[in-house]
Amino acid sequence: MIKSGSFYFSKSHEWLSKDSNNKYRIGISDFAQSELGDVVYISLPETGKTYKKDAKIGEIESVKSVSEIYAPVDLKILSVNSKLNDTPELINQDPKGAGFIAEAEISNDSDVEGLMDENKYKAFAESSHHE
Amino acid sequence: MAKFPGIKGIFLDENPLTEQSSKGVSGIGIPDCGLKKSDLRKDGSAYIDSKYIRKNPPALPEVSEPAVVRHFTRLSSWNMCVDTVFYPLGSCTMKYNPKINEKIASLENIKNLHPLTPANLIQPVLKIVDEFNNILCGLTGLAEFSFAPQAGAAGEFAGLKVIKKYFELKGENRKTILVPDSSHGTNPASSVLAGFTPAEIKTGKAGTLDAEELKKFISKDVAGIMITNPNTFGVFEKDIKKIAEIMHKNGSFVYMDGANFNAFLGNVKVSDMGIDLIQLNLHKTFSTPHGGGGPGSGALGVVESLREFLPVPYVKKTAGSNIADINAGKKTSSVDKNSDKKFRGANFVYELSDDRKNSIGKMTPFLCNFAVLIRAYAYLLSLGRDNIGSVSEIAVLNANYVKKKLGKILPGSDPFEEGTCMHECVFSDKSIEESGISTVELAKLLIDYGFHPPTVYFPKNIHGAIMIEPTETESVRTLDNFIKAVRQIKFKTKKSKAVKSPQKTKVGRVNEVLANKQPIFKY
Repeated sequence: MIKSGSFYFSKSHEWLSKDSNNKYRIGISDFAQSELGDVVYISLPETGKTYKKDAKIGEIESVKSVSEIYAPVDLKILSVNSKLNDTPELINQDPKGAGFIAEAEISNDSDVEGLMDENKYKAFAESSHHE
Repeated sequence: MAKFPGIKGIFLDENPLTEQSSKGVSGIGIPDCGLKKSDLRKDGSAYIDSKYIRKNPPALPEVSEPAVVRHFTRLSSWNMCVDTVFYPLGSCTMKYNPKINEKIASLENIKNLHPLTPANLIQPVLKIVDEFNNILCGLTGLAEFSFAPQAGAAGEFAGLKVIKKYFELKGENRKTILVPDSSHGTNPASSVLAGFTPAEIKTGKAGTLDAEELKKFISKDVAGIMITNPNTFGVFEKDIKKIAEIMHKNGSFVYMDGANFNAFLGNVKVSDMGIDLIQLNLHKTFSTPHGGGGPGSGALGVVESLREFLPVPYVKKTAGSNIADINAGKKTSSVDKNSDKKFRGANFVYELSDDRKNSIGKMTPFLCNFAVLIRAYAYLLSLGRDNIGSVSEIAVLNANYVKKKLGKILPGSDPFEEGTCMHECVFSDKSIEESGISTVELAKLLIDYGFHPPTVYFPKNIHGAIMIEPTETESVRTLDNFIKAVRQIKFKTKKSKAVKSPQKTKVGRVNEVLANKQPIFKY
């Protein structure tokens, strides 16, 4: 069962969190933002567009490098967090809150169940720091 | 105590020239143009149509000659360059540019060459282009090089266009270019620009592409693969021949990004690996100046079957009794490749030819970036055929020396510890992190020791990557000094100093976020 307000993580370090019905928020994890370093630019996904699992939905540029953001499951982008255009540092400051990337519609909750919960992800992130 | 080059002394402040301008000051005197009043048209214009004549003079700074000389000399003294420091920037071969190259490129009749000079008046120049092409063909085993692409990525783009044209002519619509994640970063972008869709292949632990993994991606939609060898981790693709076989069996091409050609220059012909196309970055491997957006040259070499698609114009060598034939515009017959002997001792004439109906077209206004080409040609001739192989031998030796020695200082940080590397080695930040130093801090600290930083945070799949390419020109003394500096940084540097470094340069640590988001642009 997917719980509203809980976070579910992908191996490529995105999170999903359910708001209501089929509506989810998507963002990148605290671990991901700390690995990236200061974010200076973000290329947001396209509103209204449907993305398949693992498809590239956007890009984050930090002082270190440019990294891709992937769709953790099949989803449709409902709206994007356009505040990130001017203040991408929100991703560093509050990756799971004000630094969310977009709102998406996900038709199958069961897709999200295949992702990692908070504890599993924590262990995964620690092991992937120096794999 | 190691003596590091260090940074000490005076850095002079310098403002943009526009801020130093005083009305009426001039550094040069321009002689009278010789036009008489009677030469002018009624509206005051001479040979230039009045609509092209500016209403107001351009806002050029008005400064004296010494002001200009000091300006640029001062700015250059703030810089770290290959003429002043060890420059081990990985993945991009920043090698020393021998001064003989500059000497040859500065010869009056080369330096003052006008790009519109007719072919009959620049026969020796065209001969140089032709001979340089022959040398590159000899080094690679390929059939012909085009010098139209003026940068590495332009070479990739041209190569992909050639592949596209080949399939168009065959009536096939292949859309996919395979790009391993270990290939050069520009490869996927070039594929998209040339109208293909790149498909990324994940590489194995050693960063190499597995032939079995490749097979999963093979279909009749695959036009080719772009592979960088040695790959971006500095590891040689051992399966390269198998990879080429798989591709060729599918009727697809193997494009090799020549960015890392310095690893085997003069020792291995790419044709023996089954490569169909390669771009050679003259500004990397062939010691012409590098960076600052140009000038560069990404000479594109192809196998025989793709020659007809190369850009125009190209230098066409023809046997003719004398140059007057060309002057008179007489048609001369092309030289049969196998009949070279017949013409030995005969005069050859060189034309700039557009005669290639399946060409991908024109890429540049003129033939090539000749000032770059002549430097590369001088480099090769000054080394000589028998010595050219030692370039890559020493480059690889130097990289392995650094790999082994630094590996001891940075235990657990070499992802490819077991094997040897090619021309560059890479470390993660595992060991320096234990000393409380981050990769970026190591890079900045090295500046204060008088070394240009290595490439950092690339390749991305190595944590906090530090990528070092020493190149062949560096002595053991320099390498030891660099290694000692890393040791000192790791064991003796306090965090409080690391976060503030570099401290000895003209411009200290900049706020990278602000520099990205709100750059101050002055000119």
